[in-house]
Amino acid sequence: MKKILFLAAFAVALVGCGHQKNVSKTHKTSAVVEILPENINFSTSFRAFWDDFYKDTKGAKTLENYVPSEAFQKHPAVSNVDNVFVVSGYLTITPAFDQAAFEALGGTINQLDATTVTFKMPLTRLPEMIQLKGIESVEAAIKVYRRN
Amino acid sequence: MKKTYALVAFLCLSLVIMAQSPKLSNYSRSFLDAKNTVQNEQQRANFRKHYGLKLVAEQEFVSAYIHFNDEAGKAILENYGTTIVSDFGAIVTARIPVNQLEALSNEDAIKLIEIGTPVRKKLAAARTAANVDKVQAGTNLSHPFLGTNVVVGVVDGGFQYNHINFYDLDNSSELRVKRVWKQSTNTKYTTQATIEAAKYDNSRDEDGHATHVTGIAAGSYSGNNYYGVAKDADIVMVSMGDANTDISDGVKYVYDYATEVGKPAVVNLSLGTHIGPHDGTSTFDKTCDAMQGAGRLLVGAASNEGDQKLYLEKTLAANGTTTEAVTFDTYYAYDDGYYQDIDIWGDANQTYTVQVIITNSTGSTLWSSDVINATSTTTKTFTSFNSAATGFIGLYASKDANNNKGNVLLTTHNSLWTTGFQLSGTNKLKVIFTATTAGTIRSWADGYGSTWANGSTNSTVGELGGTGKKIISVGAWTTTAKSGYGLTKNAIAGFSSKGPTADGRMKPDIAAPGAVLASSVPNTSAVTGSSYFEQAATASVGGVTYYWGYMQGTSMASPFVTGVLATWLQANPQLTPDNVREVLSQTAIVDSYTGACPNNTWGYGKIDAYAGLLNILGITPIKNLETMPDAIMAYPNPNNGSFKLLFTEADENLLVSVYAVNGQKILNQQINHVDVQENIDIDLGQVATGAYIVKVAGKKINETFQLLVR
Repeated sequence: MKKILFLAAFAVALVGCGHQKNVSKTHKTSAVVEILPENINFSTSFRAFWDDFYKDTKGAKTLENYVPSEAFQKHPAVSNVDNVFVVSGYLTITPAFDQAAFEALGGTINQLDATTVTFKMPLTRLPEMIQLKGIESVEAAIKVYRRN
Repeated sequence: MKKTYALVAFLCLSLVIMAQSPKLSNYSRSFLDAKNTVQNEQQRANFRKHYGLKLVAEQEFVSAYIHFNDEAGKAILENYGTTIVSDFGAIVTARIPVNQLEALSNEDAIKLIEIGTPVRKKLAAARTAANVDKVQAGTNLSHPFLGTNVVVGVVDGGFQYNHINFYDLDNSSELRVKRVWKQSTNTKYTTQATIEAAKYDNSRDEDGHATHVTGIAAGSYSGNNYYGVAKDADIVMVSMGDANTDISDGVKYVYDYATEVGKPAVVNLSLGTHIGPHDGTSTFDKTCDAMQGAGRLLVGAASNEGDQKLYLEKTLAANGTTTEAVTFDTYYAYDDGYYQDIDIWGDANQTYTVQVIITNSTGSTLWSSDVINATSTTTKTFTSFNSAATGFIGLYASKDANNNKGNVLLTTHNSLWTTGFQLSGTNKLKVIFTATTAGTIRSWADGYGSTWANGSTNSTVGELGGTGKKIISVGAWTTTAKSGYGLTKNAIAGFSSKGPTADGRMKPDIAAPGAVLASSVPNTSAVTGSSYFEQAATASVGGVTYYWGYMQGTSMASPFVTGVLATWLQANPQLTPDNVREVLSQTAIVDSYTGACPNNTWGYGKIDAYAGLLNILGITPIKNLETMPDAIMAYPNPNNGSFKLLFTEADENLLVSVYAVNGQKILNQQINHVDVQENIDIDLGQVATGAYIVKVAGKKINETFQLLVR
């Protein structure tokens, strides 16, 4: 009887742990890898941005606690939206693009035409974004200047 | 004698006709409506100034023309405290107490009262030079064109949302700014109260660029000479972030609002960059092209590097090579607000390589980078240069998905985003281009003061404002050669960038006044206390001081055209970018300064707002044609297609023919006989607005004159 009670308690504990894990508010993030995937066309502006991003994360294995350096926060493609540092750019998408999956990472899009969107994605989820299906090309935003 | 009698008869008839007209002119009625909306002392002061009222012993007087049925009717004027200033018989100029105006008009003796329209101070040179005055005055037109029911969008930074320049023409309490989107905080203001409360997008912005630009396009304050072109347009302001994607979003936001309210829209972009292919294939250009169309126009600044050799073009045979020196402005090398970049583009599907070297003054190589294949995805960065330089160089290469061109970006900001690149001593930075396959390699040095030793000032129009296939790109000419600016009046401003685009298209499309223009600026201490600020005027309205300042640039020329296009959209809300180009090509001013047009400095020439408007309305000014001959009077003129011919002499076997200005005959009407003072009705039916030529030929009468249908 005691064994059964013990096992039952253990089972409840396991289930409880699992439940705790399922409602956890922290996400597992991916590390920033130096080499970008080859199935997406990345513009030179994005490559330059990614190079800076990689160096700024200093090779951290996860980005859960990543806060961009004060200098990197000044990158024209980086902005602070509601206390979340995001990167902006253009995406060219295909019919396979899963907007729900994109938004589940915390990203937002603004559709400009049938295949082109502007996007904002939290920096911490950017490595996962570039693994999503339906993205044909990515450009990082570039700085613009007044003409006076 | 017969003619004199006929003329008198005509005048009497005119008076009869006038008796059938409203006793108060339209402008007089609008004056009374405006008077009834005045709610406080400040508005009263503005009202008096706007209508040129005189204040005598606390009594306001308005100047007016008074038309009488009979000259004897003038006797009633003293009952209304009205003083005759000039007497022309049945018409006088007079000074009428404002509170007696309506009562006086109800007198039987009065035929018509027209209050005077105040003569404005001398107009700013820019508006005069581009014939905006006639557009705003509605010269020979049915009404003024002020961008009414058109949305003017401005995507920019440095706004004072509630500057007095953005209020309504006659009612200074109504704000014409209908929407504001502040992108940095993603805040959208949709009511006058919230827009006014927000006031500025960035109180630390030092030049108030957006306020100046918006004032040129659509400013309305009549208390000084610095109002803009489309004075009655609705305004949507997008306080931009720093990046090109923000601009794309901003353009879409304005167009979406215009669709929501069912109005045409024109958006201004006084912005740019030199990163991009400069051939209309960038993502920004392609998506903006897709958004434009009927009633959806976009205007951009050509850029300000017309005197900077930032463009390099080299056509190489297969295996051909060239070494080119580039100079960065070292003053900005270590400023984190600036960096020096070089963007390199080959022909579509061309393969080529790029290598960066540093040499000493005698040409010996002190340092070299890897050889980069422009069409292979590559990232190479360098922070050590064998003491030949300090800082950072990054080389990023890939084949661009938009155009299949090999693209190499050479950038000098490092991963800490604080330092750039600086050569040691007299060393030189060079780039070796080697064509694997034949083709043309083009490069733009994007940095303040950056130049190629063998560079050109051609093809210096920038991305965003100067390269799209539909956007109207604007160069700047000088209308005010303000002392100290090194400008030549009537000539192209030296900084105005030139075309063509990398795919050979003419740019800019048109030139407009851009040096030196005065317009509204924010009243923040950041602006007024800035060393860059040069004050043009101030005004105190409702206890608040507002400012105007001087600026120059294609940033100023672009909104000038934006305002003009808003007045054209008022005339034709379905105007497309192609329509605009056609009108520009047919009406732009070509003179000794522009030379033969079109060309890649002036585009089609200097913008002529009035000629363009006439073109859109289908009105051709008819030169050397009498407005009204002696033997025949046509009235009313202008009319709606129905009018009368009054003959001042008898005649027989007359033929009345009416022609459109393109020569098409609209009407042939035979008249067997007319007596003196006989009226003949003419009805043209449903005809288009515009000018028409009337020919009347009989046994004795042979007259040709013009008529206006509205």
